[in-house]
Amino acid sequence: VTADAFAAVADPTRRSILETLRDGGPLPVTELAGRYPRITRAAISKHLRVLRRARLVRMRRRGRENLYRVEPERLADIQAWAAAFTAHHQQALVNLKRQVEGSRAKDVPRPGS
Amino acid sequence: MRIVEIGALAVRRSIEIEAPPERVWREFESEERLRLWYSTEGGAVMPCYALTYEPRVGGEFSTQVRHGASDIKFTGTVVAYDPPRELTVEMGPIPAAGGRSEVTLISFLLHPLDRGRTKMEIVHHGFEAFGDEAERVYQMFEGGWDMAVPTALKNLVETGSATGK
Repeated sequence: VTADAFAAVADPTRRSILETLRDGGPLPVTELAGRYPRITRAAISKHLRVLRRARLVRMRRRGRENLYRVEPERLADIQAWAAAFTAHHQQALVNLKRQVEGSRAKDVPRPGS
Repeated sequence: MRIVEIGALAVRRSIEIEAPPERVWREFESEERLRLWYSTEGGAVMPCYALTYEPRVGGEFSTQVRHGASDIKFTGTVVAYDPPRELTVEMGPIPAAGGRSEVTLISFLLHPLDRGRTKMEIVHHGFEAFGDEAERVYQMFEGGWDMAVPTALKNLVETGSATGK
C-alpha cells in the first residue's frame, strides 16, 4: 500500500485532485469532474480509484452520491519507509568513504608497502 | 556558500573521509561512479538503485527504491551542480497525511577539513513545502537513525562489517 501511495502521487493530475479535495472536499465525483473540464469523468473516476486503493482518499455514500475526501491520517504507513530511506543515506556515506579511501590506497602506493 | 538554501527542517547525516573534496567529487562526476556507492542493492537497510544520473544542472536524477515486494521509482532533476562543493537533486513526490504530497530535496555537501580531509554530508530537506504537515514529515525521516536502523547497519558504520566481526 505504501508503494501504491507513492505511485499514486507521482501523477500530476492525481496530486491536483488531492489538493482540490484537501482545500474544498468532501466532493461528489460530478462536482470534482466539473473542476477539470479537460479530463473526462471516467478518467477522474479512474484516478479516484487509484487514490482510494492507495488509501489517500476515502469515499462515503450520501444519498445517491459518493462523496470523496482526503484521508486525514495516512502518515503511519510511510513512517517505516521514511526511516529506512534516511538509513539508506547513512549506508551510502559508508560506501562512499570506502570507495574513496580504498581507491586512494591503490592510486598512491605508500613507500615501503 | 551553498547554491540551494537549506531550511531548519533538514535531516543531516555525515561522515569524514580521508581525502580532499576534489578527490571525493570524482565520485559525483559520472553515473557509473555515483551508482557504485549510492546504490545500496543487497545492503543492510533499504535496497535502492541509482538508475539515471546526468551530472549537470537540469540533468535527470532517478532512483528506484525497493519497499517490500514493490519498487518505488522517483524521477527528478539535478538542481545544483557545483564541483567540488554541492550536488542537489529532487526527491519525490512523497505522499503524506491530509492529501499532501511534495517533492523534497537531497543535497550532497562536501566540506573541506584540515589535513586534506572532507566532511561528506547528505542533507534531506525542503519539508517546509508540506505546510502544516512539515514538522511531522521531517520527523519521520529524522527517525531513520534512532528508530529503524537495523543492527547490521550500526555494525557496518562502527566496525566496517555488517556482521560486526
